[in-house]
Amino acid sequence: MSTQSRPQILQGTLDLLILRTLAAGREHGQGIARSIQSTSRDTILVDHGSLYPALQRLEDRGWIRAEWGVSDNNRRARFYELTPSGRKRLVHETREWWALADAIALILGPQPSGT
Amino acid sequence: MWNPLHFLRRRRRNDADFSSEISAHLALETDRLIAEGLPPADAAFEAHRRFGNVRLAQESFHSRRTIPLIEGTARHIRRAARRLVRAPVFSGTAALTLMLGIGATTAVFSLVDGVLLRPLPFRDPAQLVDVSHSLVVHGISHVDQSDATYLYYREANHVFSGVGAYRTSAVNLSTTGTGDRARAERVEAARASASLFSVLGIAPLMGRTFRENEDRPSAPPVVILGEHLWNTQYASDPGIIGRTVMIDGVQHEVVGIMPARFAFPDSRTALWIPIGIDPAQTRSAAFDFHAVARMRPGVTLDAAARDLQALLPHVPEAFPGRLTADAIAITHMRVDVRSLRDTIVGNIGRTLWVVFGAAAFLLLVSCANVANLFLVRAEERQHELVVRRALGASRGVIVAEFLSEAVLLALLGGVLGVALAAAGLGALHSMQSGIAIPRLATAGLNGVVLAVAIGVTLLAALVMSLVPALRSYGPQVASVLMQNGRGTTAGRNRLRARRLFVVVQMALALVLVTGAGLMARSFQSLRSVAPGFDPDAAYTFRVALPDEAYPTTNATVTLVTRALDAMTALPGVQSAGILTKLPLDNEARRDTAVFVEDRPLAMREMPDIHQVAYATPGTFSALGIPFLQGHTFEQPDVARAPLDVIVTHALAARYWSDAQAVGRRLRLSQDGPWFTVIGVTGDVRGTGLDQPPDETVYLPLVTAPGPATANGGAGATHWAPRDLAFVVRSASPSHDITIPVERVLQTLAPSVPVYAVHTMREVLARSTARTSFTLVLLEIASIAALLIGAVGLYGVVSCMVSLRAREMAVRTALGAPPRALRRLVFTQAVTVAALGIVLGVGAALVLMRFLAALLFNVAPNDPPTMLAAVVVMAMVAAAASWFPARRAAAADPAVALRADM
Repeated sequence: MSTQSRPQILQGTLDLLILRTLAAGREHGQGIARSIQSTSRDTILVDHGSLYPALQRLEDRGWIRAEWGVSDNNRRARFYELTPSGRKRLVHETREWWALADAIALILGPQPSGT
Repeated sequence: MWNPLHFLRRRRRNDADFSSEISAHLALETDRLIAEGLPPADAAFEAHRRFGNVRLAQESFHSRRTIPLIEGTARHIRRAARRLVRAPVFSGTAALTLMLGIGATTAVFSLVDGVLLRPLPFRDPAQLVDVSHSLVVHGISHVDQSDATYLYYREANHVFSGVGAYRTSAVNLSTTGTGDRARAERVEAARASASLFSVLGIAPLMGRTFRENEDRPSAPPVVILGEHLWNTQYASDPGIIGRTVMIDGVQHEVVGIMPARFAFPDSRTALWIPIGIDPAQTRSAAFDFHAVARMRPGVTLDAAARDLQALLPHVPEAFPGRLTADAIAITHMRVDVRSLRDTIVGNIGRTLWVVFGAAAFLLLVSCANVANLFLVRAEERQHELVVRRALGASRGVIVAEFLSEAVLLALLGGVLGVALAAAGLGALHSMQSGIAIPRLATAGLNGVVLAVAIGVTLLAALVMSLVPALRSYGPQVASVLMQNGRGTTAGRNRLRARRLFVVVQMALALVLVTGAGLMARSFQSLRSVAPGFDPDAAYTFRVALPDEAYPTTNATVTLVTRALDAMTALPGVQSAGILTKLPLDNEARRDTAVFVEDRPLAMREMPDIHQVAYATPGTFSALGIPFLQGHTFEQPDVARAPLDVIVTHALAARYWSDAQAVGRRLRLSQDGPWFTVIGVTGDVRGTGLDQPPDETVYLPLVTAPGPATANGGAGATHWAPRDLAFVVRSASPSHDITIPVERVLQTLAPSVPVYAVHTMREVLARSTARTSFTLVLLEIASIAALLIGAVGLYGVVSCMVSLRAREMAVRTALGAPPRALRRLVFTQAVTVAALGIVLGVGAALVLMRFLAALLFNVAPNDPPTMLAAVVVMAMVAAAASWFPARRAAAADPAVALRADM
């Protein structure tokens, strides 16, 4: 299937993506997955099976908090939102990500056309 | 970033909540797929497909939610429990061995803690000191306080915030009835200065302590009751304050109740009465009082002693009397300031530490043994463990298995051990009076002791499991599998650790056996000392005649004479007498300066101090003390009151060598009347069997004049002591005369309580109680260590035999005689045992020095004891290795060779 050709998400990146998605407002798990997929223009397909343990991990660390609510189409869902420390974490991780991305870009050199 | 509260929140979310979140996701995703145009059935399937493995997500959640370590530990413990139940012999042996080690350590530590470590139950106990004096006079090396020194120190010192004085004295407390019909009980009491209570800093439970002027002799009599006495005798009646109780025939007003923790001077003290010191009438040379003082903050013991030392020469100026400046100088009197705790604890510390050392050794032996058992187990399971390792079991899992088994066994051993300790302490408490351990009442299984027990248990678990666990790291899979295959004899290197343990066990056991041997020798030589009296069939009890009921010497002597006559007339009674101070018992001891006519004192020379006791004619035959010269006293007669004395052989030898002592004269004060020696008794070791014989002056029950008074003058014309011990000898040891004898006294003096009822055999046993106590504990420890060591050696030799079964079978098959095989095994065992013995002897030579102070007539490196200990160890070792050796030789070679192991 097409997932084969999609880039693997770097380890730890999923956390960053979740935090970034929640920065826009509270959202349930399925919504987060959809949002990441659509914002990345279908480049990143979040593995639903690993999304929820990741959410739980973030919740355990106190970066996000959750409560049960009702979705737009009247389904019960568990909604997540950023905590203040999660917001700080997002800033921190974003900065790190860019630093890493710049470094990798330096190593890889200019992007060849046509890839 | 770690916040413990998250842990709590996480715990709140359960697996079901997580699962319902997944269901919600699947529903949302299905909705969305339907919205994108998939048919509902396909949409649900696709949502599931995209999610992937729901179960995997749930498990990942579950393992995050629970702390894996705890869940894993619980699982390990459960499995370990099952494994242990399946191996009852191993588990039982290990748990019992640990029970001995942990129980002994816990019990003895509770003693060390309660007696030695725990602070005294007073305010700021570190500031409290005991003040006494050392001096250089024959017969006495230490005195406490006289009223004069106490008063002067109290007034003039610069180092104390308070000084209190006290004196122990038992009293007759009337319990029922009044007047002549009153029944009294003998209770331990203390005469205390008013300041004592504020110095110790304990407030009364009810009422008040003594007022400042109440401790003068002229003050109206008051008493403070101890909480225990108040509970038992007066039913905790709060109305007792202000009422009077009869003490020694005098009404005393109860002014206060002291709480039970105020166990001063010791836990037996039932009540306190004022000390009765009159600054205007001091007896400066009668050191009858103890002083306890509270140092000001920042003052050291040395500084306090220096301050008082500077004051001491000025005492005679403030309180003129027999304690002169000359006397202080000649006797080299020095002020001795010691911490109150050291004074109270006395010299029991060394005994307790020795016993504690023995218990710790026993614990080490039992840990070594259990570690050894674990090694055996590890070897038995080695095949299984190696296969599991090969199949991917992590080392951590295998270490955890051993650790959890060890923790379980240690816990079991710990629980049993604490129970054993509780039982042991209970037994000790019930025989408290015999051993006379100060502060024993504070020894118990409190929090500190239990914490130590738990710590010891966990440490034991760690030690026991570490060795096999570490060894499970060692062997490579292939090598073990190959070793266990055909064609090789088993790897000897596996035995190395076990041999080491056995060597350690043998060495420790030898140290304990040596210690017990030395104590046994010491006890034996103590018991072989002739006490100088015949303890069999002699029986004693004490009475104290109150001054009020027996106001005159006449009344006292009349009662005593009538009582002794009646007792002697009883069937089965051979003789009866009175003595004020019994041999090997410290009650009512008196020491007095003795001036001998044939030994005039040089200028500035101090007379020697000797023990003085009052006796009646029958005393010596009742105690079985023989006469070497002369004869006993005549019947006490107030009218004549002859100036006769009897002396012990040691005293006669000191002054008159071997010459005739009868007819010589001595006196008890510089200007008193001369007493004539009428008899010399055999030596009596009345201070202690390990002490030189007493140099005692026996005075007749009634003398004229009485003991010298404060200013050196003669006392009342006729005087008789009222604090008396009756000594009665029955015709045969089996003849029990106690009841009729006591009835005689109850008939003649119904209000006078009889107390301290003992056979002289008991008195004798009590004087050696501490040695026998140490001996018994060391014997128990060493026997346990021997047994455990023997089991360890037996196990190692057996294991060695089974590991070499194949080799031996080959040897037998090739014609080796059984004798050679036995020798082969035996030699190996002996090597191990010998190494242990050599190490043990070395350790014993070093460690037994700590025992030296407890020993009597035995050197700490006593060669016969050492030799005996080595022989005992060697015999035990031989027995422990003989059986496996015989089994090895008797094995059928065909069986061993065919066995596929």
